[in-house]
Amino acid sequence: MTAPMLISLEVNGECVDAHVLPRLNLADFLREHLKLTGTHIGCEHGVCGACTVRMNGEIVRSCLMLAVQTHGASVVTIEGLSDSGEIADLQAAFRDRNALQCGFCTPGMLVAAQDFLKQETEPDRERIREHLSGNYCRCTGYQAIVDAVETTARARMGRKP
Amino acid sequence: MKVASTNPDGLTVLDRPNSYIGKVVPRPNLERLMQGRGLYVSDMELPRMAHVVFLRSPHAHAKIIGIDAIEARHMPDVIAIVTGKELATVITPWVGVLSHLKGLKSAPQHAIAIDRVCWQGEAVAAVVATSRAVAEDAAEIVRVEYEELEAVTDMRTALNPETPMIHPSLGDNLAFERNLDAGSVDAAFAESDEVVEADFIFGRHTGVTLEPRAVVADWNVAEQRLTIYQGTQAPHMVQNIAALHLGLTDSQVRVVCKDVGGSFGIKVHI
Repeated sequence: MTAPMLISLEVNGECVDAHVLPRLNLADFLREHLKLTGTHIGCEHGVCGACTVRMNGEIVRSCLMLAVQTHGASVVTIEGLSDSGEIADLQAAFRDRNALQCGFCTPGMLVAAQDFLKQETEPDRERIREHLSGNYCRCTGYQAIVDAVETTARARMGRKP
Repeated sequence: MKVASTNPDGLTVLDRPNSYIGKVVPRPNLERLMQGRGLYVSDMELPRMAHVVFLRSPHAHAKIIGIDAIEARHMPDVIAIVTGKELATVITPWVGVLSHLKGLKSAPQHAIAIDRVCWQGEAVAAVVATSRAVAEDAAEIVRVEYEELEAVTDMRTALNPETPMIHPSLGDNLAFERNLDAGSVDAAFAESDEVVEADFIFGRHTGVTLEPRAVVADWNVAEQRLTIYQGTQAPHMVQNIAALHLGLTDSQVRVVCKDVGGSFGIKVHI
């Protein structure tokens, strides 16, 4: 099984058809074939979380998925979440709290944080930390990131931060 | 001093260039980083760019008896397989000393090992191909024959006469020594009411950035100029070192540093 395979999927709302090698992972497909380089590759074995994307509504490590596994799926990357405005408030909270330095972890962190915010209605710091525990940040430390997610959760609940 | 309020644009003293003092100013790069629209080195792709994978030593100390890359060289999409001897014709060895640490010793280090490897993970060959995946495939079929030598890994026995010298040209295994004499230690212990002894063992530690190291280098043969795109924290040092070891003038080397995914001191190096 080494010949290219045809896949059809939806990426950030657009239909994509591509011939890909079966061994190509989703992160490389997004970055190299679609030039969506906001999905970062840190560890390439599912530990650091920098490559986190949304697939069919669930967050996945794109370095641990093969591109052929996304046939028929809907994938949303950081570029899609940014352009749709879905995480504009979360990004504003990250900016206000300076919850990033080098920014390499940030796309994955935002995708994972948005997944938390969609599931949880209570801005519980322990739950935020648990949900983001698969995303490494090496510069800032997690305090500001947790603060930004908590602030966003409170704002979305209609409370004052 | 009274600030004139006749400015038709409604500008005030706070709009002067120094008015940032005391203000919180959001960093201008945050938006692109948060939208996944930064430009880290591995996001770059130049036309007809090749990828290199380094075949690395599994041994901490070994002689390189031979490198058989004939089969790998003939794989489709493999551009070149370069050994240490071949690379040494275009790049001089690096000596890693620091001017502010007088007496620090460092044996000349080739970009790729020649005849002998001195640590586990030292590069023994560079595999260049049209993609990283092909380069990794080719690296798997390069055969390197080693003769293992005794590894020196324990600081406490490194200076014993029976311990092999890793770099005989340095005279011993001591890279650097700094003595701090703050008074008579023996006397202080002798006069103490009680002396507590403990051994402390420290693990190796280093900066661990989330972005791995990455370099894209573009040699323009017509202009005789090298452009290096690197995630580094010291572009001028990279320019200087690259020029020095490649036999170029500084003005032939341009180092471009865009977004860097963490440096922590380790990305001053090439």
